[in-house]
Amino acid sequence: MGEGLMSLLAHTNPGFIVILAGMLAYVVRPSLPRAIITIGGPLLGLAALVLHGAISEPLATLRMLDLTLVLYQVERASIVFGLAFLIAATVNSIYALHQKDPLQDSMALIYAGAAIAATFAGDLMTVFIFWELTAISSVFLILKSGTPEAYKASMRYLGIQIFSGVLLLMGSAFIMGEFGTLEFDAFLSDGEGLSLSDDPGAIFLLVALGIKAAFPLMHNWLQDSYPKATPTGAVVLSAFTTKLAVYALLRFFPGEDALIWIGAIMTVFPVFFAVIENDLRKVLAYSLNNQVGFMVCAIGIGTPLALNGAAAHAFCHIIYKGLLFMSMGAVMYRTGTTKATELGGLYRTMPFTAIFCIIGAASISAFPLFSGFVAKSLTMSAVGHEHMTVIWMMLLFASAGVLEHSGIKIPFFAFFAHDSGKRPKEAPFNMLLAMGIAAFFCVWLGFPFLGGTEFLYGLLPYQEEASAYLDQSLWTTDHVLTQMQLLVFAALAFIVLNRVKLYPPEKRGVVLDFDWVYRRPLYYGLVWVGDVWAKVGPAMTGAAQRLSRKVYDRIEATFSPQGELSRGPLSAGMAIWTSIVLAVVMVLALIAGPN
Amino acid sequence: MSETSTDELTPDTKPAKYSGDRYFGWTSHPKAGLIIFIFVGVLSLGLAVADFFVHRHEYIHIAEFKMFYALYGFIAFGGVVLSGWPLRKLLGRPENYYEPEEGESDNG
Repeated sequence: MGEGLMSLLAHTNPGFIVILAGMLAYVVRPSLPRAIITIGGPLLGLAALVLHGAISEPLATLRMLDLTLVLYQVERASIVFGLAFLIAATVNSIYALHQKDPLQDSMALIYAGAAIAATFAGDLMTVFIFWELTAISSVFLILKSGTPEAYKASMRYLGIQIFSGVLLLMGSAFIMGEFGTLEFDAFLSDGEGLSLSDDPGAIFLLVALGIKAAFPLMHNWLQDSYPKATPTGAVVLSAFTTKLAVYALLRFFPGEDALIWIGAIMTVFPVFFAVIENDLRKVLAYSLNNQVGFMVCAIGIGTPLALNGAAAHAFCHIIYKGLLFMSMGAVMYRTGTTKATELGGLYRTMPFTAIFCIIGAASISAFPLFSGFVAKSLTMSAVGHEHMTVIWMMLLFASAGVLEHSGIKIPFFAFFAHDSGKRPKEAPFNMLLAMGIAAFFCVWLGFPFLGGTEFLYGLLPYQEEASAYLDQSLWTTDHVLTQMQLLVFAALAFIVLNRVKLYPPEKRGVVLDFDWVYRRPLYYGLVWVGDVWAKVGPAMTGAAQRLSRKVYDRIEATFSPQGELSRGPLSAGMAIWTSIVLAVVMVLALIAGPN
Repeated sequence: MSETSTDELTPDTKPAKYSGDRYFGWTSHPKAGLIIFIFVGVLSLGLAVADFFVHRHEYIHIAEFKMFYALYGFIAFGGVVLSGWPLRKLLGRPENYYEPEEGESDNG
């Protein structure tokens, strides 16, 4: 019995367990059993991952519609992402314990489960199915805010996410045509990905993944929707969609040159928007863009060190970004807003939330002794090793920018700065517990001698390079010194600018971004076309009907049996002469023969 | 806004002691800003001096210059912050810019 259960777990995609827990969470209404399900589901998924069978071999398959769906296949890279997803799902469930909302609990788990299931899928069709499930389930986390703005944002979000899925399906169709199968093993041989020049479907896949990863100009669904989600919804959303795309990029496009520049631009441009944004959850959304940029750039570099960097960064980012969203979610829950203009001085009554937020901020800023340092260093070193000076300087600039918007702005304007006079209660215990667990991971993974860094590096796809970097490069004096110089001098700039009143004060308002194009000119253009058609349409339809009726009547009057051409001797004579000419031509052709 | 708990939210009208003062109360001291400035300044100075005693192995040529990381961090951060002034003028709009018919919302 025990062995049978172990074997079942070893061959079950952990994502399926989380999805099942999500479905149960909707049906089971009493709080305690639902809590057991929402926390127990991801924990059981973790157990399944720990017990997994062989690596790089299909562990569960399904034959359907002439396709082999590889429902469960574990790769070294998928362990890193899957494990981070499962930890995030568990922590998120604890964070959401105070809310008595079966629909949100359920959708959060189904969304997480779908992302996990896609991570451990071994073919494109299985990825597509769960790709779409992440879109459909996650939209409820925005909708549940219940505001008109949230409703509109959720519809835009859903449309863009589904479009990404359609592109993924188109790319899959090309892959099917080229390789005759959708199984990864057939077209991702020896760790090499797809080629944009050689594989016709690759461009569709890249754009599909680019939308989910929020590439520049495709990024606004993120800033549009995440800040409008519920306090717990934003935490859940921050973990999965973009990192699933990063994982897929890592599998399909390692070493793709275009990603180097795309990633570098992604790290830089959000910094400028974040500095003037008033909504702190939106600042975090821009920060998410910036962080994913580091991962995308590393994937573009494509060396073992860089790919280790992308995976390690994703693992740490899922946790510290979740922690920052959790702290802002707690502020939202207690004060009803995350706008910097309405916050400040909350440390007085929310000190533990403040402490956890600061730990998240230190981690994302990559201060030595915190998780961001041990992750981001891999990518920076990989870019340096390739001697890409401009890219390296862009990433270094973005590192200083991260300190500005996530390292200082978030904790400073929420918990310190001017006193807003708000004295909310401290976050509920379950929220503090979830933040505490995430904060523990941020410190454990980054602090030497605690074993966390060794654990993280032990998970990375390229073991030899990870071990060598850990032993020889990570904790060297010059590495720690230069990172501290960058961050401390950047912090000094903040203090100086603040003291001489050159730091732009927070101001209510929205900041225009690329979504302006489809929310203003394109939207109002379509509205105008609709208005014009509503007025001109009926008149044009009437004119077209009258014209077509005239043409039909004329044709009928000419060619019908009662028509002009059928009347009188001319028509009969023409028929006879046509037959005679045809007969003569046929006889001549027969005489002439084929030669 | 269905998922918030702001019932206990009341404006503060009189000085009071809060649990958070134990950890962060010092930040409200009038001289706190100056003390932090001096602390970070001294730390910066120490890190700058250390740059002349620690041998650095760089793969990017420009990073070999002394104080490169310190200056780059200071200038990058300062540049980003100062860019906020013109950027806000260029891209800032009223809060109800996209949804004027719905009025304002706290939810972004």
